[in-house]
Amino acid sequence: MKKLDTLEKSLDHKLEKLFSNPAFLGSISLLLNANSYRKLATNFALRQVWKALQLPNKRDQERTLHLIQELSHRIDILKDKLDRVRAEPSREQQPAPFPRPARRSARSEAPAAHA
Amino acid sequence: MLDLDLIPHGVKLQEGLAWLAAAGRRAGIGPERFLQVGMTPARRIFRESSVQVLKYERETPTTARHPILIIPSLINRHYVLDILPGKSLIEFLLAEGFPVYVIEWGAPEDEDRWLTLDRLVGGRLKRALQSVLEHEKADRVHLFGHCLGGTLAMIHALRYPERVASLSLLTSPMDFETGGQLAAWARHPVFDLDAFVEAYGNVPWPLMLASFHLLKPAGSVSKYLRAVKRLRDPSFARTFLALEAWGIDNISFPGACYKALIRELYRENALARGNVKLDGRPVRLEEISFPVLSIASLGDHIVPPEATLAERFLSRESLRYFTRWTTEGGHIGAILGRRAQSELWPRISEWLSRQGERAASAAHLSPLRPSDAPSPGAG
Repeated sequence: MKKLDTLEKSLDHKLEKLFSNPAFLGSISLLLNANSYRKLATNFALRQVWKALQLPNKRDQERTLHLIQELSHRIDILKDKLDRVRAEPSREQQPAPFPRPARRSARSEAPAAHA
Repeated sequence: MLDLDLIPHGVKLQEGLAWLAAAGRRAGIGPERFLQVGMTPARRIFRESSVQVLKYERETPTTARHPILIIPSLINRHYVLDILPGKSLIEFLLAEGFPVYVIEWGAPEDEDRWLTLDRLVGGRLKRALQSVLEHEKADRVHLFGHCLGGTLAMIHALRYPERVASLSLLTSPMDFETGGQLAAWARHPVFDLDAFVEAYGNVPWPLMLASFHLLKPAGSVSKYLRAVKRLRDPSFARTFLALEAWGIDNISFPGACYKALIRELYRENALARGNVKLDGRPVRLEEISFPVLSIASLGDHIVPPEATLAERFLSRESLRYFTRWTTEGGHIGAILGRRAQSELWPRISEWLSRQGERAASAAHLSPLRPSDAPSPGAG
């Protein structure tokens, strides 16, 4: 078991050095990039086919679903705001900017909602 | 969707196993069934797209003042902290009297490639937390982040501190400049991040899993050689197989989030520098105004201890809320190992109870008492 530990440590150390080597990382990155560009080109070609058939492609559908979720997110924010506003004392019970005498007396009889 | 050209053969095998696991799960014979992982009963209280909040059922009454919300890493399933009966942190926390909730991120939908970090943390995570508060009728929650989940929890807590009783970070990265080999890979300038995400949408989990295995390639093989000798021990065999099953039961990473992770966090170290924004406002580590416990593991090769939250990021004011412990073991072993069960878990529970009391008594903003400081042996 000790041998295995030593072997593992030395192997991991050597591989770590290799995987940190800028030249190695550069080559791997180039490989990944090449694969990404190839896939992008394939995706683009497929999109054109769907477009020619006047059909929505996968990306369009994903985008639409995402926008629906965005809208739902905004509705949730509005709902939160609405709930907060509802939780506050009603506007009628708040001092109006230019209060009329009749309203003022009515308000003075009402219990203070925020008390 | 998945481009298998990119995936090494070893990972193809793992993908095959995961596919089998998924097929088995659909047929009711998934790894959860025969390995009995994640067995603590839980029910869903919230769902939004792929994100769910599960509440763990308890038999004993709750004694803690605030619920715990566990936030796992984005690429892992939630059940690692409930891996096996008797080896479950969640089971332990329930027994300690805490109501425990967990976020299950779930596999992102294809349209989630546009889900940004801002929307994830300021939207889905925020609403998940809100659901816990409403369900528990509580005003605050103990956030409990594991790995990258802790980073997300920190961003959220800094923006909405009024909802936080405390934040515990289990091996969570904050300083991505010292993030070890993963940071070196992420920062390599030749890698065309935009093209990668544009081509793949959500980042396939086998790719991420392969990168984790490449951090210690010899270790990934030698652990099986070591295991062979101990597989006759049923307890070891069960734990080993359960962790292996969890290890390959990963989920893909939402594309736009991945971009933010690599560009903002790894390349620009934006969180440590105070350049991350949530809901239009910057979040800064030096503005911590709630109790934070950071647990770093000395043998962690995924999130090295230097990358976790430490005193150097904090202001004098925020230091008063900060506790840091270091433990032995690796990324998972430090949290689930035998020593963790006997020493770390009770300390976590005690720390959480203390912070809960403080939050409830509105002494939340007072400086930490000397007893809150980490003990000398804790690192």
